[in-house]
Amino acid sequence: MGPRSGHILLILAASLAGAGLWAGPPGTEYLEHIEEVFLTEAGALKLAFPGADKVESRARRFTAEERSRIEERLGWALSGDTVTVHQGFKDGGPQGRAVVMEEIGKFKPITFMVKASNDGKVERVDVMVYRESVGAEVRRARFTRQFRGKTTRDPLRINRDILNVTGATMSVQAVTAGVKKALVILETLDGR
Amino acid sequence: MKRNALMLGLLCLGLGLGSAARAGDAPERAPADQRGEISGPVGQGLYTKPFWRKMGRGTYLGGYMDFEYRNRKDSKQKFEALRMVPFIYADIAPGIRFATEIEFEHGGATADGTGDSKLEFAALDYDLLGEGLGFRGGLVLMPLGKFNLIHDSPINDLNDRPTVSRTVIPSTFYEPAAGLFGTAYPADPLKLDYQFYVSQGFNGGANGSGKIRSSDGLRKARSNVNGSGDNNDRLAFSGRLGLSPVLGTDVGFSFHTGEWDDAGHDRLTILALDWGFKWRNLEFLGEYANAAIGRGPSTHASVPGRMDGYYVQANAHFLNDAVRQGSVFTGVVRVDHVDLDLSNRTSAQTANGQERVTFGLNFRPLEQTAFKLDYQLNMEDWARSRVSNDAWVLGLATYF
Repeated sequence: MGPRSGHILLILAASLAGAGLWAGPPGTEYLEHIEEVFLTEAGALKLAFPGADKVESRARRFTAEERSRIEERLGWALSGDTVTVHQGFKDGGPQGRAVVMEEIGKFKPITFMVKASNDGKVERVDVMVYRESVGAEVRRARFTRQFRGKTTRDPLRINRDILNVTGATMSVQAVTAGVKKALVILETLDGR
Repeated sequence: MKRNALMLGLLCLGLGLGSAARAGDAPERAPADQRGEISGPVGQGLYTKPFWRKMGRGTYLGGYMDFEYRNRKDSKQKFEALRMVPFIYADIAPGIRFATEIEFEHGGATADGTGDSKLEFAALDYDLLGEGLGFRGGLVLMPLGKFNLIHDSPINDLNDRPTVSRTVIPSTFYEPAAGLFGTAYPADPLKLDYQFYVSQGFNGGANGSGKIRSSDGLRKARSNVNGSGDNNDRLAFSGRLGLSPVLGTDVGFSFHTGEWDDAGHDRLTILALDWGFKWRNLEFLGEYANAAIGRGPSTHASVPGRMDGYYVQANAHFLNDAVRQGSVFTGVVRVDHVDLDLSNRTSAQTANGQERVTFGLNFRPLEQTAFKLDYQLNMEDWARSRVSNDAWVLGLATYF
């Protein structure tokens, strides 16, 4: 082995030793999911309603008719029958609404908040909890900003109006499906 | 024969469309996540197997397969079970992960050596600085060109891999290796991906044994991973820097360098450039690679001194959701070129180019599954007349 090769291996070994210092105490508890929490619900609501003086959160159970209408528009089944809608107010005026969605990525659920304006256009998508070991790019603004301005009338499809992230297709599909679901739910609850 | 191939193609696409259309008649009523549960007709044993089964607390099973029919003008038509690749993924603890792919190729290992059953990837990842820096060790995919890193058949829109990614970059190219990798976002929306490894290196074989050849490039020169090492005492180095200024646009620079000969004197350096650009329903992608091979004119007479090649590909996606929710068609055109003896060291021939233009159409009932129909125009030094070797290739590929 040449001397240069030896140096490289030494650098690698030193990196690992450094990692041992970072990795925390031995016996770190095993988690069911390897979670990365980027935003709490309170933090996501602050981003969704930055100037609001009040945020109301109301849990809604879908009527059978609403559920059927939502599933028909989406083309797939809902896994739950309730949704919590957060609505911000400033000086008594509504500042849009937000819902927290949870969609399966490659293996595990991705939790994120979708904020829509009063007229049903996406204003923000913020990933709150990511549990996959790859594909976390979907939490970055460079990915989520492409949802801005989307409505239920947009296709919201990979390779059509949403750019895919190579190597994270299933996470992209999950977030895209969740945004579409959030918009359809909000519109259906409005009776539209 | 051509008519047979066309009929087979239409039959395959028709079967896909027909069954998909039936499936798309009514909204699905099943829970959103059915992985690990039995679905489909129980009488057909295939569907009772535990696909996507989560095993234990943090281990997952998945994989992909592809199967093809090939009808080449100068050869007999054939079916082939090309690949079946189960993969296992494990979250061992926070910041510690293991992943492996076990490849059964050409029907699996046989006594006469016509198939393969082997590890293709088996690596332990250890986060050092979150997403920014990690250590990876084990059997590692070499970061040489983007295609080698993302080569799964269900992702590719054509049946055959690019020629340059089989010969100059001998995909699937993996080596026992250790190194560092990570992703950084120095300024939104810029993204940098980087990998750097120390690895075993190529095995060019004994002088004159012909493992590096102008017929198939560097494929035979991949070293064994069974502990016998390569043919010298030197290590190899490889790395890739990927740069994405905005979502949908990326460029990658990569290299692999190390000594290939018995004495450990002659260096083989491969440089690669890959790129990709997406706009609405269109994708443009490609890769260029150049291999410079040190050689002694007398001892390495059969070894070409330099080889290079490229591919450029355009994809257009259309008819989204036309057949069923989530389905899409894709039209593809790809141009391949390689010259595996660029400096004419092994023959008097002034040009050794192999070219291919492929026209493809594929149907994806959902993103993970593809039915592909390709027609290949094969050329030698851009001449259509030298060999009659055009081909129809029909294939199916899916993640499971």
